[in-house]
Amino acid sequence: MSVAVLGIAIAVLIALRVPIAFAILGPCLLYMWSHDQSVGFAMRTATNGVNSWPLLAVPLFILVGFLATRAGIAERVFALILSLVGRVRGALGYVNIGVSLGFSWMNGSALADAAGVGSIEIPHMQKKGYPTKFAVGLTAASSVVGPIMPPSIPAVVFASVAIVSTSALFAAAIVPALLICVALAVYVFFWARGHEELRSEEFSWREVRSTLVGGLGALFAPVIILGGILGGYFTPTEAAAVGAVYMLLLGFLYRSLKLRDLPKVFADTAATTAAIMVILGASSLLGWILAREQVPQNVASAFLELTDSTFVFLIIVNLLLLVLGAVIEPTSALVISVPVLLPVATQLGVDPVHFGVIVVLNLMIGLMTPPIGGVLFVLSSVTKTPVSTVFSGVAPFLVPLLAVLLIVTFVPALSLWLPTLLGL
Amino acid sequence: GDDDSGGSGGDESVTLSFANSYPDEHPHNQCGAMVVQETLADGDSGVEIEVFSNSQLGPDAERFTSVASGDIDIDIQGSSAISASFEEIGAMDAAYAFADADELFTFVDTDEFDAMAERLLEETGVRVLDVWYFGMRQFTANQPIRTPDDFDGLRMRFPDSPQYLMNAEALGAEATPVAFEEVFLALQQGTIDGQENPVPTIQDMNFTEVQSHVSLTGHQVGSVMAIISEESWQSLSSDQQEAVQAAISDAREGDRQCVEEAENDILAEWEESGTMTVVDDVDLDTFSEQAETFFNENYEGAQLELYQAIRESVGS
Amino acid sequence: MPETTRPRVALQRPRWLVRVLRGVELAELTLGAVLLATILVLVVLQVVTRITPLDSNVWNGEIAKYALVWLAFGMSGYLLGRDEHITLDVIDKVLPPLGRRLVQAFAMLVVAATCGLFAYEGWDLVSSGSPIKSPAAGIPLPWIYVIPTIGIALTAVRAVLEVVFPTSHEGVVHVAGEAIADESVHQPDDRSAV
Ligand code: NA
Ligand code: NA
Repeated sequence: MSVAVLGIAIAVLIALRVPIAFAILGPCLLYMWSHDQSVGFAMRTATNGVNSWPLLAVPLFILVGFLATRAGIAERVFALILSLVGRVRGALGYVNIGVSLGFSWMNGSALADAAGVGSIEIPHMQKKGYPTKFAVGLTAASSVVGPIMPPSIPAVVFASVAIVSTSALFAAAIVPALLICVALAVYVFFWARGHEELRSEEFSWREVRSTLVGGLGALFAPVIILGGILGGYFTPTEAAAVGAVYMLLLGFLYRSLKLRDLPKVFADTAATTAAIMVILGASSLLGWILAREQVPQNVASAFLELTDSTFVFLIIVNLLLLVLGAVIEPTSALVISVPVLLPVATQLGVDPVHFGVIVVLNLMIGLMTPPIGGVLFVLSSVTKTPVSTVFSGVAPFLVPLLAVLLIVTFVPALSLWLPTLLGL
Repeated sequence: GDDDSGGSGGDESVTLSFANSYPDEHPHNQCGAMVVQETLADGDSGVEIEVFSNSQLGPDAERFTSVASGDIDIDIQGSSAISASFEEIGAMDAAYAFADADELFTFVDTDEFDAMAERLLEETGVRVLDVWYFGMRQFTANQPIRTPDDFDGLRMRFPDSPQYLMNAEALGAEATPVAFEEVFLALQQGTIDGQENPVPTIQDMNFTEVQSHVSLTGHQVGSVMAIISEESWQSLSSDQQEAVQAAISDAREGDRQCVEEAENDILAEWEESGTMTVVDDVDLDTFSEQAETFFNENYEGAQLELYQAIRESVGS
Repeated sequence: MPETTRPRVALQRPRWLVRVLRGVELAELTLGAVLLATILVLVVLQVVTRITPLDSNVWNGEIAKYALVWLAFGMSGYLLGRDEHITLDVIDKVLPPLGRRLVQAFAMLVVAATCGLFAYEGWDLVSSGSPIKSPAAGIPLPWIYVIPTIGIALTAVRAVLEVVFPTSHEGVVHVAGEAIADESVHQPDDRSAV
């Protein structure tokens, strides 16, 4: 069985609705057996792909997100930001971005943002007269901040596949995440100029004070999680565990979390984790085969024969990943593409950490593009609106997102400045 | 191996995979694996070597399992890693078991070593081809380490393996296990105060940026085993076996020279530039006597026997 | 809250089978929750031993990592039974109902074959009597593969059941690979029974 046959078999099985993990495992298993590897070797290699300290951050960060949602953190952040900018024209637009930003420090996934925060924001916006398409589109677009701003599940997975420092990748994504917020805010600013009627809430210091007290616990979470990692006090895995303990305490303190809720929260987290990890296990089998057949080296030399232009390479990478991100779920897209693309990137002098930011950004934008875009389906389900309506709401927001993607791709300093400054 | 010659002892040409965890530039690749590859390519044994450096085929423990099962042909493994499955070999990594590389190789060339290798083969299906020198492990900290008392109040990082933690205890240090990739950050943030590694590793990992002193304790003569899967070994013809054995053993001396050259060059560079204060008046006698007492008291059974055989071979 | 986000168990599944599967799911969920709690405790313990004078131990990190392995493969069957494995389901949108059912049956046969072979690999490791042990905690290699082997075998069983007694996947939202905290998408059903 050649690598080409292997690749085609995997693609066909994925298209025929075989769960991605098994679509990869099946052909890889046949490859191993037809190449004389011992029985049990595939099992060992697949389990070994999950046996990693940095990857332990994945379940723990998912747990932090679930607990934060349970503890009602998003609502508290929402109330706080609303009390601050409520009087501005198009206020709920800025609030929408701000809540995604405020929640992003406890949340590593775009779908958690869209589902958790979106279900609070969208009804509120609809009630105040914002068009549903705008509300849904902005919620989708701002949900990408969740997994780009650390903590980030895709960043943890990239770091483990590419063997770079998770802390450095976390630090590198902060400026791009803020850029997305600014770009979306600019979009909202121009959009709101045509909607004079959307200025509503009265500003009151009393309201700010009371929501500030409620939101204080939430505002301290990023200090622990981000501050702990960037200050070098914790590894990302440790920070995730400490963050989870903090969220537990906060939930009990707010009385929004009961001891009897915990089994369900833990079981849900475990199920979500398992779905990602089985794919990572399968892909480590694929990765072993690619390494054994020296595919990354061959792809790199074939590409470098065509062109040695970093610019061309990055353009191709962006197009490839946007398409990949639109048809396959991000973790799978990441573990399949990174082992092949990264060697070319490093040979062309692209910093692996910068490359990680580009990859994550692309795949997250892919989450809001048909046919697979998970964010579209989640929002369609949350708002009971057809997916097509959701997408037509999202489409205009792709402009600011793609603009940020281009800037981040071609200005490496935006990503590398902070990790260099922090010595990560 | 995924080669086409299954023929036990046949004369067809074979390709053997040679995996390790070191970067391409490391002496074990430059002066080790790649030299073996060239030697065999130039010979007429029909054995071809494919090198997979940098843990491409998996981390240490997993690759050891793969050699045992025949999925990787040749690999380089430290004794501490192997000792999880074959405990006694850990004694090769005991603190001050050897004073220098000469003593190491004196023992490796004894019958006691061969007998130990034979037991390893019986228990795990992994054959030791030879031992290569990995360098002397030295302590770094922001102060000199001259006597065991100097460890007072210091948190020293040791690798996460029972033998290394025994070494810490034997030397009188408080061990903190930290994953290798996280050592730099931990030193920078002061969650640990020092660590121990061979000089080239200290340089490669930039520990010099966050540590001021390197103390030449030489507390462990680092060594690695070049191992081959017994299944792969038996699939070779006797000519091929001879060629592989010779290529690995012939590389031993050149590999050692490369390591020692790197050690000396880096130390000279540090002294000249003042990057690190090199502390060379370590109280080696106190350290090694303390370690010997400790291991004689704490090792048991086969491990104690191997340790004593080592100490005997070096004339102590 | 839409009711359509869960696969409905087809009527033709015998009641005893449904009950057995419920029990298995409960066991899988409990295992997952316990392993996750273990990971949390062990990682917190690592932080505590690092910042306090308490003694640290070598096996802490190793057990946490194995817990992740066991969690991943131990819950695979649960995910398959719930159609929550990450799946590309565009084909559902272009095929008529009969085509969908055929493709689904084919996909489940592939899963059954893959997991059958994979469970055989696991069984080989479990019964190998290999002397190899994990580096820090010294867990014998055969023990490490007990949970993955059972988990994968249960996945194969689920896949066969899906061929014989297919469940309807109408309206299922495939979001398992991402953290969904919202009840409307991640309907708990009897998960709360854990
Ligand atoms: Na938002
Ligand atoms: Na985040």
